[in-house]
Parts: sequence; structure tokens; C-alpha cells
Amino acid sequence: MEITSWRETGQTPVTILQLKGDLVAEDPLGTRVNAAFADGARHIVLDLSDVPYISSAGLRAIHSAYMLLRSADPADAAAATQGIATGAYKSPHLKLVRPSKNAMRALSTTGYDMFLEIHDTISNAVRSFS
Amino acid sequence: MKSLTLRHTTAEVRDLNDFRDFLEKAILSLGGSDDDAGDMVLAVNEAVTNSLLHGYGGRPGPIGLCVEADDGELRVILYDVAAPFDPTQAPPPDINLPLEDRPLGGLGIHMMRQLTDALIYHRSTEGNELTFVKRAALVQPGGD
Repeated sequence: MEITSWRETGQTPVTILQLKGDLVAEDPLGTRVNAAFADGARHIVLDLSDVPYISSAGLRAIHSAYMLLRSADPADAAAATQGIATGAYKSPHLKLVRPSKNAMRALSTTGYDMFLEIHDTISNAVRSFS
Repeated sequence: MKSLTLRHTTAEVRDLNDFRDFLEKAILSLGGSDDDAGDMVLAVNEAVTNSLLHGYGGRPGPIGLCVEADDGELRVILYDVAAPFDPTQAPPPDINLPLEDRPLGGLGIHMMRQLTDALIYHRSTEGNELTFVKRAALVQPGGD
């Protein structure tokens, strides 16, 4: 898997990780997310438009990224606990862009689409943080 | 009944892509739809990964996949010779829990169950046999 990253500075700085290839392991995505977090990233977009396939191991990498970002925002934990029950909660820190049909199948089968916003374009995902 | 089989005598994790490619092409050629193929590839990949990583401990081992189309039903049978493991006995995860409360494991077995109509385990004298079933799955003529 190849990962390209960049940061968009605006009202809310957003780190974009553009993935290319099957997401079938926790690394290298886990390492890149940890590095971005250590570098101050608190809002991340995962561009999945070039990811044909996601396995449960790949989902665990997304899960870990979500948890890491949430660890820096204690208020988010309470919002999630309340919002999950009503179906109203989406992560304010991690968003996804254009998962393929197969990738979407993995996300929806496991319920990850209940918690993570999915956008059509990177720019829409970045704007949604503001 | 029509069937297509792939056997690797020394399969490794790096062969997973070959297994996925084979499955997709076999299912489509036997009359399955894109959705059937997508569901089966996702479900079976999880089981093959388990066999390779846990059954064989990451060492090379034999893996067989047989895709069968019969009377509108699509079946994929996974064979390995690892220690007995019956995923149908694993407890289902609660996907309505917040992400932080979910165990990191167990998602693969959940995907196997959700994406198929039946999951059947059999321990033969030779090893594990796990059958994935999609009913009313053959939409193309000639896929009987």
C-alpha cells in the first residue's frame, strides 16, 4: 500500500492521507496516522478512492486511527456514547472519502459507516471540519 | 453441478490476492453476480487469512478453495489441514457498541456470517472444511 499525505491549513488544519492499494493490514496506515498525530494532526481525512479492498485488519487500522484521535478530545467520548444510541453520532476527527463498492461493503457490514462520515471529495471532507 | 478449484500446497499471506482474484473470476464465470462475488470474496478472504495466520502460524501450508454452482446455490468450500477451528461457534460481536467498546478481534467472523446465507463447518479426517453458501445467487443463464 502506498500512502501520500499532506496538510491543508485553514480554520481547522486537516491532514489528508491518500491511500493506494488494498487495505489489508494495520500497517502502514497505523504508522502514518501515529506519525501525523505526533506531529499535531487532530483532524484526518482518509481518501479511499484508490483502495479496491478492505479486510478486517484494514478496518482495525481505521478503528485505531479513530480511537487515537478521540483520545485527544475527551468531550468526544461523551458525545459518542450519547449519539450512538440515537444514531446521531459521527466522528468529528476522522472522515472518509469515496470508498469503493467493495470497501463500502466492508464498512457497512461491520457498522463503521454508522460512526464515520463519508464524503464524495476530499475538499468536501475538509470543508466539513469547519 | 459446476465447480472450479484452486489449491496451493504452500500458501502464504502474500497469496491472498491470488485467492481473491480466483474467487471473483470463478464466481462470475459460474453465473454469480458482482454483488455475490464481492460478498464471497470479502467473507472467504477473512477465513483464508485466519487459516494462514492462526491455523498455520504464518508458516506456509496447504489451502484449497472450491467454488460450486448448483441449483441456483453458490458455495465456496475452504480446506486447510490446520488444527480444528470452528468459526461458527464464535460469539457474534455487538456492532451497535461504540467503537471504543468493541473488541478488535471478531470482525472477520462477523463479516463471514453477515455476507453469506449459511456458514457450515465440518472437521474431516484431513482437516477443516468451511462452506460459505449464497442461496438464489445465480442470476446468469448457464450458471446452474
